[in-house]
Amino acid sequence: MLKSASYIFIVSRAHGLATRLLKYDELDSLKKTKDLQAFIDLLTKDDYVQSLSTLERGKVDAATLNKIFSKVYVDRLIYFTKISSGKFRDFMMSYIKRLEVENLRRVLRAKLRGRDITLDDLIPIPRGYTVLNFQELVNVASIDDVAYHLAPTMYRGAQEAIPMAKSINSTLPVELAVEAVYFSKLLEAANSLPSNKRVTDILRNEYFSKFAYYIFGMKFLEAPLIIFERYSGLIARNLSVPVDFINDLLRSREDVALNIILRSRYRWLVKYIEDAVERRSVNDLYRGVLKGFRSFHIDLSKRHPLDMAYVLWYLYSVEYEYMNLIQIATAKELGIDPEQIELY
Amino acid sequence: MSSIMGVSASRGALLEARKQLQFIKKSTEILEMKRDKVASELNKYLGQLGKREEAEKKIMETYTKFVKALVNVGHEEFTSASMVVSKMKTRLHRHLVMGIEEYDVEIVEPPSVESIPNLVVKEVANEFYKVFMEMLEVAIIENKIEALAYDLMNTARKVNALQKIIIPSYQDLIRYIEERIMEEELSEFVRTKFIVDKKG
Repeated sequence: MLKSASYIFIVSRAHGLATRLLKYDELDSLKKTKDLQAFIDLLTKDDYVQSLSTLERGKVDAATLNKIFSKVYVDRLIYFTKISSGKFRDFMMSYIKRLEVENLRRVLRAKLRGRDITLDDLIPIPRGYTVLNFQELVNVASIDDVAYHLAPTMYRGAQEAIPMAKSINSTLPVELAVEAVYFSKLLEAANSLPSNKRVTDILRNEYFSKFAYYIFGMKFLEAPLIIFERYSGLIARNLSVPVDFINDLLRSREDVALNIILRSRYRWLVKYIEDAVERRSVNDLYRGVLKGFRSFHIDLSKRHPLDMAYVLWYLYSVEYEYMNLIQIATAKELGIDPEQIELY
Repeated sequence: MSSIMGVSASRGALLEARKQLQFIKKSTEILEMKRDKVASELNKYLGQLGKREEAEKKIMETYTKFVKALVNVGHEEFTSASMVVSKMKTRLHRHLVMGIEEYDVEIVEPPSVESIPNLVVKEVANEFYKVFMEMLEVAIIENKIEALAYDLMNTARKVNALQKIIIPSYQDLIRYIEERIMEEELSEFVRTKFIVDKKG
């Protein structure tokens, strides 16, 4: 089947824009800088240099850099959305909702305890790229009022999790519900794309890696996993697995859960998390899951450089660059030895 | 009538001095008992002093984990995840045991580290809270040791002063008064006898 012009355009743009990303060697050099100022001086890529040049020398901290990196991350995603058209634009509009999900998470966390939060604490998402009114949301009095704002949006299903969140004093049930809704909508949008099977497969693997992090992490911390069971149907649909697979994972011991994954299509993840599972370390699990998914999509993009797998690789690479830069900046501020910084 | 320590050598003064000596001896015994009790309490707590080293080691280990977690998730996520944690509420209780001030810290409301939705942050927060509780226990023990040691020093000084200075001086006083009374009785007897002999 002939590929449409817009398809060819978006894939070529992804190739073009990928040259603006930091290469592994560049990140490695940044990692080896002696301090935060040297790190800033070396970060001369176009996307960052404009914001970094306005900073006063010697008076920069990792939190400020975090905001700058976050802005570049958002700008890149928005730019890619702007240049896309037709079904790709619809897909990108769904994909970019992960920023909205992140902001919603921050609002929920603050409102659970009635803490103050301002728009400065959120990722700056331009109007038109979010369905939520964050200007209003930051001013609501409690988490119940957040539920009121969720009602007319695609996240209305997550409202049911709010009473549970209140009863266990944690926003985790709502966060998981919002994420499940986000991925289900993203998968719906991906289904209408050309080479949709590969795209949905990548997205499912991303979702599974996050899901695995939550279930193993919660098992390590002996937290109740019942909050997942309420959404096991939606999670199973998102992952294209039977509900029993989800329930078995939730109810089994860590080693048994690893075996269950080994027998599934998500077996690639096991080698990245088995050490963390043995050590019962959430931090290692987090790194393992991120590294595993990074290898997974890099591998796919190499095998399919001329289709949507490459576009997704670009989008994920933008996110991973953001995470790597945050990691290096924080490590530099804390004076951590470069050898101890492990890039994703 | 002669006097010592401002006390005249009379029968009344002798009785008063004996009564006071008896009271001082009883007090000394009580203070000795307190000293022994405080010393044994101190010994009991001294064994727990090693907990500080252990707790400090754990703090450093947890700090390393915290740094790793902060590097992994970044400032923004760490701050956002920490927002769900309620403030810890404590109450300080002051007790007086044998005149020694002791303090205990009651955790009225622990910080809700269980609420943290980010599991990496939650893991570190859980460990920090455990280490914090251990350190708090160490601080309470150290405070008790300090109070007990200070009191032991004071009590031992009091017991020594009573045994070496006050009691001997009272014993001297009583002996002196007894001798003076004896002398006065003897001279009275001699004087009476002399008068009787002269009349006879």
